[in-house]
Amino acid sequence: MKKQTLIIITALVLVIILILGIVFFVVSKSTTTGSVFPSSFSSLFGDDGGILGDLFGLDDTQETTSNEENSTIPPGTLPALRQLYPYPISGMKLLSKETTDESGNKTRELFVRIMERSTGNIYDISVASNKATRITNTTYAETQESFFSQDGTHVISRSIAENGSTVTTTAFDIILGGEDVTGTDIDESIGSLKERFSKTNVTSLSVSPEGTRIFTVSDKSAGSSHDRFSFTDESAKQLLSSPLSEWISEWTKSDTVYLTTKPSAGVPGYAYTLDANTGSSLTKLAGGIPGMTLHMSSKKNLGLIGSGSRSSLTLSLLKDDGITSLPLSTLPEKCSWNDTDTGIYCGVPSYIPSASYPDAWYKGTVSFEDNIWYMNENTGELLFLASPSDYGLPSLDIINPEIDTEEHRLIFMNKNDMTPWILELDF
Amino acid sequence: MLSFRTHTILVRDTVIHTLLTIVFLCVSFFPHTTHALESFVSIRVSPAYPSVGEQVSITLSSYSVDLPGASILWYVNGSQRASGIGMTSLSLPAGQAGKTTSIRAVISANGETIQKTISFVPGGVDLIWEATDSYTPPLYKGKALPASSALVHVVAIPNIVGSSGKTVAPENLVYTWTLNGFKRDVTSQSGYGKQTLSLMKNVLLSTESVGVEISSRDGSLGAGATVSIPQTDPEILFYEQRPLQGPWYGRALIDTVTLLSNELSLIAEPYYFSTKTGTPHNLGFAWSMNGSSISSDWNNPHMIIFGVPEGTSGKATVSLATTNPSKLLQDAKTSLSVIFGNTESSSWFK
Repeated sequence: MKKQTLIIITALVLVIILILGIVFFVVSKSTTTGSVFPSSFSSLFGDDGGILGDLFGLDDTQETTSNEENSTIPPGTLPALRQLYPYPISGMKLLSKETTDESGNKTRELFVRIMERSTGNIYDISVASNKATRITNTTYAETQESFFSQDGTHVISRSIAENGSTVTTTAFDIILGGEDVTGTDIDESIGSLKERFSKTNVTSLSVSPEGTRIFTVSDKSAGSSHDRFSFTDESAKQLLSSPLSEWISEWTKSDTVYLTTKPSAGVPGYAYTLDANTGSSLTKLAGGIPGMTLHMSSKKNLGLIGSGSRSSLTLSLLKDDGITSLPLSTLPEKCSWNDTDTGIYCGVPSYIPSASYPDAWYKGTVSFEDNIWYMNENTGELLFLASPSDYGLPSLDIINPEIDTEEHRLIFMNKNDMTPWILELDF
Repeated sequence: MLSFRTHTILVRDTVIHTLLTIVFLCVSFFPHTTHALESFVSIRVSPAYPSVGEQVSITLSSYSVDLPGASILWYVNGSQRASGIGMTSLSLPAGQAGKTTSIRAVISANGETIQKTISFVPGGVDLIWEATDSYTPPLYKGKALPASSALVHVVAIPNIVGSSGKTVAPENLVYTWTLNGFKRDVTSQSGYGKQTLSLMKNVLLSTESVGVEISSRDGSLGAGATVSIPQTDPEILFYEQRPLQGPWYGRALIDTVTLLSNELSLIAEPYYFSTKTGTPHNLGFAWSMNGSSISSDWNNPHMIIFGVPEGTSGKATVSLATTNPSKLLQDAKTSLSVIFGNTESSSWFK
């Protein structure tokens, strides 16, 4: 009996150790995500079938208490691939500022300015420490998309009205704490958003590369109006009146706006250039490409062309002398050109589910599991940079990537939960 | 009686006159022979209005001249490009828009030499269609596709460059439209400056073909194109309407979802249904839960909120049938299984 009891006790101890080991593993997994909120816990208990898995892993009740500064993680311990902020955002901008320490030494600090989707509050997140600081407390709920000016002092946001159909586009000045522009007694410790103007029926919007001008495509009866204005002045100059409505605009070169027809799998798409100063007429850039999407570079006459059909995505390089296919199957909008237009950083799906592209991705019926790649445009060299699974992270579906000028940091959003992320490249 | 000297002069004059006549007839007749041969040979460019970069074929044909046995030289803009016995066609890419390409063929047959010339000016026209009454959610980046009976606009965007090097304005060109190969159904929409064709998708044809030929007023410049317009079925996709965040269009709810909170706000987006207002409010939405009909918000019939009482759990099937009262062939159905909490109550929605 003694021997039997001993065996039972030993078995119990082993079971307890096993349970503790599982708990430890899960907790350590949540901390290596780089997020101070262990979202992986909720996903463990919310799994279900369907192509997208659990859709309700985020606890929405947290958002009412989330508007405080997050706790910080000591510098030097942050994983290279990490979430910058745990709640959905509508847009972000990589910025830098000069800081002076107690000894008078000046350093350049990188931070990411975001607009929180649920509140419209603006936060600055330190790249070095992941510390999030709220800088405005003006509420502007349900922002779907946000675009910051180049210096981050203005933001233009788009939201959907209660009727579910009208899109309202609003431009704001970001008034930092201490700037008393109204003459009233305000809390100097936190800033606010000052509304400049608001427009409706804008179907596509892009910001100029110097970050001061805005280009919009707006619906009108029988076609669209293509206008240019600025963050601070809503008086618009009409650059073009088109009998077509379905345009996607991109403004990567100071003098040139690119207009691409909205894509659908297998349907020939067309891209044109429009003089951003004078407008007048469209000049054909490329066309007849099925399911065409486009992402142009900022300096050279280079572009990434995506072609979509049923069950395939192809990426090509557009140059002056023609179009060359690339060995990456992804969408141009999942890529960022570097500052010299010699390379691209892309989120590339690890596999392409059977569906019509890009329609299925735009509708949200397909979500990709991306790895991050770099390709040298001159040599064709491909370099694998990172995979979320290598960090024990959930899958990432990359959108809005932006590489910094030194090519040390790639920031992007995860389409699955609209949170901001960063990949440090000098590791 | 004529003297010998006078007779000699007469004979000399007659011979000279006869020789001159013969020479005159030969000189005057020979060119006519060459001109007649040239008229028996035709030269053609295909396509008649090539687009920039398009492969162009130049072809010689004749019923009376032995072209297969002829020696043929081809010149492009004055430079010899090709030659050969019986080489009756030449293929080359069309050049830049507005830049004239001159072709000359020199044909040697039956001891005769014939020259034929032709030129062409590449232009281009893109045909882009839009289903103007087809619904897609706000901020949707994809193309709205036409369902049965949808209203479609086809717009020709020409790239015609004149001799001055300037692009001819679209409103200064003549448009001849065809629908499924025929002009008759769209004659009224053809003409000067008529850059857009409107049509309603034929319920019997899954794909329709629209073509256009455009030309300058003097006919010297032109281009042509054809485009196929597919037909698609409307579809309904569910999305979560999140408090303070709005519709979560990044992820559609399909098949089965697990509800972690006690409330689910659903928005149903009826892709590709025809709407007059650009909103889905004129459509018919019939919601049901586990087979029983339920009502939705009168102001927003494509949205519905489900509340899960405390302590209840289980699985429910939410279904939606959408119809278009003004276009009866447009309809769609979909359903979603929702797994929720703990089962104690029969009341699952509000």
